Amino acid sequence: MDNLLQIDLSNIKKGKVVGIDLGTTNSLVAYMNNGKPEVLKDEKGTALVPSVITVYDDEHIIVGEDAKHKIITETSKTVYSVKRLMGKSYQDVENDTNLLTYRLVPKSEGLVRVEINGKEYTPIELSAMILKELKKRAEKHFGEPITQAVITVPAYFNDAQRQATKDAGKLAGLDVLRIVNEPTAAALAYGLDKKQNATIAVYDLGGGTFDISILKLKDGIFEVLATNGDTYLGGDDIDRKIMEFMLEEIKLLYPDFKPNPSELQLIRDSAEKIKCHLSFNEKYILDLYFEDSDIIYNRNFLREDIENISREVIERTIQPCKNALKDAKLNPQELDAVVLVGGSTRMPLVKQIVEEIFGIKPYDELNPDEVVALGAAIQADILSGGTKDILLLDVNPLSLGIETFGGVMSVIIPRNTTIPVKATETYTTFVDNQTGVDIHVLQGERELAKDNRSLAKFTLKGIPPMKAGMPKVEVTFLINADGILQVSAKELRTGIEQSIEVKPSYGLTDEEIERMLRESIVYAEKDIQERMLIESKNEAQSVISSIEKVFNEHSDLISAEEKELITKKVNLLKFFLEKDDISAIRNLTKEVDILSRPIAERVINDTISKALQNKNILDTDV
Amino acid sequence: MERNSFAVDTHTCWNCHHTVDSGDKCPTCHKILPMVEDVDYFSFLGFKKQLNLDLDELEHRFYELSREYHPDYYSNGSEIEKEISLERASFLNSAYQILKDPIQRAKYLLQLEWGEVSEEKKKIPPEILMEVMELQEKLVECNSETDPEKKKKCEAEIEQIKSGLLKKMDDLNAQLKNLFIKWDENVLNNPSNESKQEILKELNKNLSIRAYLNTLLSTINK
Repeated sequence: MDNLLQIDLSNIKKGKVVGIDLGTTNSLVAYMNNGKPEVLKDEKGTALVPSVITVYDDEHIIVGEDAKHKIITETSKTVYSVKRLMGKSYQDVENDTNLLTYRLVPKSEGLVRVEINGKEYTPIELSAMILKELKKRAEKHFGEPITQAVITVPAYFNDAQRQATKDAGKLAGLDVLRIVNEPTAAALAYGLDKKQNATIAVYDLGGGTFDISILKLKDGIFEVLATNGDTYLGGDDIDRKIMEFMLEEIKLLYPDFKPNPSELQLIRDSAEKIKCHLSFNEKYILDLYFEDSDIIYNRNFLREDIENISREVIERTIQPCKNALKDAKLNPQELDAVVLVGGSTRMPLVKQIVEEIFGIKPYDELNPDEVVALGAAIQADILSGGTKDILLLDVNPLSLGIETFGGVMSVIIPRNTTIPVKATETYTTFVDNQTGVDIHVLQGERELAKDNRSLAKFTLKGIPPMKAGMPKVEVTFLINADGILQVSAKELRTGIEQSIEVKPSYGLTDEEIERMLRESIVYAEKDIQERMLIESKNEAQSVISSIEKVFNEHSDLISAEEKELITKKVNLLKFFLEKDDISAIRNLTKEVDILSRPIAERVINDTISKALQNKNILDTDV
Repeated sequence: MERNSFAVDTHTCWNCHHTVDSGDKCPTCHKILPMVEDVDYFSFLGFKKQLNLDLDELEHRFYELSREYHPDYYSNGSEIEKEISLERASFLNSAYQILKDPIQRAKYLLQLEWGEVSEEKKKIPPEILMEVMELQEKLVECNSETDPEKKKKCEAEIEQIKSGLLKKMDDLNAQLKNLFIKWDENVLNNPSNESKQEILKELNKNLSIRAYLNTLLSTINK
């Protein structure tokens, strides 16, 4: 019995690690199935979960397709494109508020917040709601708790945005094993499919962000040579352009037209529809009626019209592509393929512009909505020890450094450095008897500190009074494989040291996360655990009762050894059923099920042959 | 990063406490070992302190070691293993970054041989002092010139200086190539070779002139 118990417990598998693409417009989950990545689909066969949230109150939140349907009726309660707010302050996104149909809280400091029903939510909390929904779907699919995930982010996300994503995962009850860059994930899926050595560019134009990454694929190593992009450029911006165009036209006809939020949402909705339709058709007939204002707007849109409106937005991707090629020290001719990723690359104009930039016809065979999640699933598999053949060597997208004398940024780790990486620079004081040194951590490519993103500020204190230039302050930057930065400072003459986890200026503090976790997730988690326990207990009971039925009715078909072994397992299972031990229950249920399969087969065969003897198949109770 | 916590004794394995050599894995339990203190980028990648490197071989070794050290493969490991893997992978990435670029490689070798290059050695090299002065003057002149005819002439003169600088850069490249060969032939297998300090001096001069030329060229391009 002791022996048996030991074997059983060692058999209990670690939970699945899923890959999650947390997108601006849609999100989805993927997982490895027999060495192949697959997207997770719901009962209707849909993989994409719209990244839309309707919040009635804290206990009543809808995410996905259902929330998307509420967008016009519950406009002020429904939030979309949250990803564009991640790691941003109100000032960062202020200019876009006019066409936004939900309310941002005007704040001078810190992370931007969304106001719903008079309550303030951070983009991190809202993203966590989407992640929770994805987690729930995965748990339903696998019938087991999902607690570990790999989440993708745009390659050009800065440190604050990465931290925010990781925090959202934590809030959703997920241990985020790795933050992976979206174009790199797409390259993984592409490379696994193609299995050949090549130098490729991944052009990823999604709903809210644009990335371009250049990679070298060699014998299973995926080395990112350079990455560039714009975290505020995507299909949303094209929709905005179309919206603006429509609004202008309507106002020519009805100068007094002042759309209310739900009418604005109707325009936004149509803009997206027109754009998507014209990617595959030449003409769209728009027929809009604004009930509240009693206004009719109808018009034929040709593909050409939309291309003229959106060209300026798409052309903004050209320079980042050129910069990436330059940083990779490559000419466009040296690329073997340009892979298209992200829903916006379905637009024919995007394909055309990509071809103009790189001089080769882009590869558009991949499903641009799914490929990033598939890549995340592959990376999840690598991290859980599933495969050792593949290795991703990614880079940090933006230079990191500190502010030095005169407000200049001194770069410590330049952009496109392979991560993880550690770098050290030594600085000194400028004033006699200076006892503290301010360390201002920056990220960006501009020369002046003020033009770059401020990540954190801290002070190295307790330096003994010395003449200016005497102290030697060694600043060390460490970027881990998630692309997240850790900074430490040390005065070499005295050995005074200070290390900080960089907590972004536009993020949450550990305390805030702790509090949010306490408030929301603990209870939700408990609910899920309880539900799961009930489900597994039910399953176990049904397996036990069916095997006992077979024991009673078909004892002639079962050997004594078989019966003994299965009975032992069943008794053990009953023991754990009492103890409410979910993983043991699950594991043993599976074992009993597997052990009894051959018996079930024999029973079926036996019944069939008996039935055939009686020439009356219909009477059998198989 | 705190690594002294587990690198208390570099002669025994942190895991099985058996004796270890300078390798990256414990010969007994095969666990990954912390780095030894005095390792340099060259030896880390299995090269001598050489200036000419086969870049394909360098890449190959970089990929091979990445497969050994990358944190992705220690995701399920203990905290100590994670920390060692992070340390080794970070060092490997820096080493590859520096060694794959000939100029960075040469600078690194100088630093290894001489330690930190002192301020005195950072002075404007006399060889290009003339050009620096001339260029500064011309730039000021050009910027303040309002007459289009004269401005054009002035800009043409700057172009001329520029092509002179580019010519100098070509010479520097040829010279550097020679120094690389000289170092590898004379010093690589004979570190006490008398020409060693001479080659290093030449190398240092070449690198600092090059740095100034680059600054000048980027000033012109602005």
